[in-house]
Amino acid sequence: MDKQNEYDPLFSELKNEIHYEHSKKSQALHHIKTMIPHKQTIVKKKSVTPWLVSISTIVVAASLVFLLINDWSTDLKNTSNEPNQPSETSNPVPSENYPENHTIFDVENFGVEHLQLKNDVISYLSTTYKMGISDISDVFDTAKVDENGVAIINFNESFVFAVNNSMGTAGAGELMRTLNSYVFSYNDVQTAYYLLDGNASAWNEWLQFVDEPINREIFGQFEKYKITKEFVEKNAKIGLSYGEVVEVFGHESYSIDNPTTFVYDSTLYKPFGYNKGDDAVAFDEIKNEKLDYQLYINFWEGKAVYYQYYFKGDDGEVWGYTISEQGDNLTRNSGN
Amino acid sequence: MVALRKNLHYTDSFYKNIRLIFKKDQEDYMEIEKDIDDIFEQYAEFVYRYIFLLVRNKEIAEDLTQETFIKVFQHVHQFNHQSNLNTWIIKIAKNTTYDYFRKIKWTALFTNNNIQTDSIITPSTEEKVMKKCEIETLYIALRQLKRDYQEVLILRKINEFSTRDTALILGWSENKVKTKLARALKKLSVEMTKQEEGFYGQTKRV
Repeated sequence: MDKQNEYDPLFSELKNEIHYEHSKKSQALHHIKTMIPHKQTIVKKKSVTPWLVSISTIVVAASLVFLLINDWSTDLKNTSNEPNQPSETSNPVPSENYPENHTIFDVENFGVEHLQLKNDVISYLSTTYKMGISDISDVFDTAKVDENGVAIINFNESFVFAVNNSMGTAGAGELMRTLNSYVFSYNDVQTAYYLLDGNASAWNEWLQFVDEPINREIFGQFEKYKITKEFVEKNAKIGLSYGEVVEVFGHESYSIDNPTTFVYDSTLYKPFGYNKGDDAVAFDEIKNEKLDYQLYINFWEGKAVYYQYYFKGDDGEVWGYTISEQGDNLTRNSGN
Repeated sequence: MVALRKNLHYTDSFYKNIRLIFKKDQEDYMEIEKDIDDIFEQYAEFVYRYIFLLVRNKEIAEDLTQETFIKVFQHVHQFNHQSNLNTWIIKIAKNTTYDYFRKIKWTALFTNNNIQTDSIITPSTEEKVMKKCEIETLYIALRQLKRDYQEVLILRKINEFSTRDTALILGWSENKVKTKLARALKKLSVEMTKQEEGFYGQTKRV
């Protein structure tokens, strides 16, 4: 039995004050019923006479033959015009589903399954997109790594439809940053391809990225964008707009709603996958140096009102440096 | 909008899944209509109340309630009886509402500037005015809280879901529900006091 609270009677009264207007309910029900899956009316077809079947078959067959001849003659023309070029017919015949220049993987026979990475991706899909087990198995296939440190993270095409509407304003960038954080937190991964049904090019086309794999080396170049406490002291101003914050600090690692908060961390140059769903500071991760820092920038009415920078001090403890309208403050923190 | 076509019936799988909800074998067309009506009648008020307390606008709450039930009936095959039907339906309502939130500027959620928020005070006799004012104060105080706190209070205290069902709807652990509820009630108490003392010259979040 719940403990009684002084406001319980008021909650009950509030509940009784809110009503769904009867006329609106009826209208809604009528509309809802039109949206329920309906059977199409089946029209009984008359039986097709045999001679019609024969003529149809001949026409279809003739069309196919015509198309084939057309293709052959095109090939012959190409060969005769460019006698020194390899014949197109000598190249491997691509899958009928993929353009020739797409990067395709034979997922089944590639490397070995990386169970920890696979579980990281499952956990990410569960917390970020609120997917259940069966939904995840519909959209995500596997994560594998081979002996050369090449990782493939294979999603099913339905992943595109599942996340397109819920990607948020940060969109493709946030998706990739988060996935890369997980993938490259494993030292055995040097190169990563993200795939849609085995097709890396399809993934890059979907997100409109350059059609190239991600290599570990690229992270090193982002270390120059590391945010230090000194940088925060100098540049964190109350009243900056979203755009001004991005200009000063770059694109956030991820964002939280309620209130809108941009979070920056060292995964930009030092990949590390961790649960970003909570608004709790990653004290343990900062203390054991998986993360170098976290910077939280809270917004109110579109303006930055509060900065909190967490880092590991020389004493081995996590310190928090805050800037607000009341001034700045540095305190040692013991955790959540 | 799908145009109504003559002499249509629902698909076989829809029949089957609706029947499963009520654990009935009959496949009579008229019974199905009654089942749809019953589900809607039983849960529409519930869903509307939940959504209204989050969006605080009558028209938007009506639209989102309709959208929720469209999804309920379109995805009835996904109801696996692992939770109560009302829990499942409210979860769809929550996701529908959050999809709506993502489409609008977030600042509109917590100010009166962009979207009209509706009062809940209805005309009343003079004796009831004090009570109505208290309820309005609670309503205003509730919307000063951050969304997590609003959610847990709306589900646990107003819609009276159990801790377990609230955890299922919000995707939290039961402990988290209890902790958040305790904190939400404390925060609510502070907000109620501020409202009563006329602390705010304008709507402002803590």
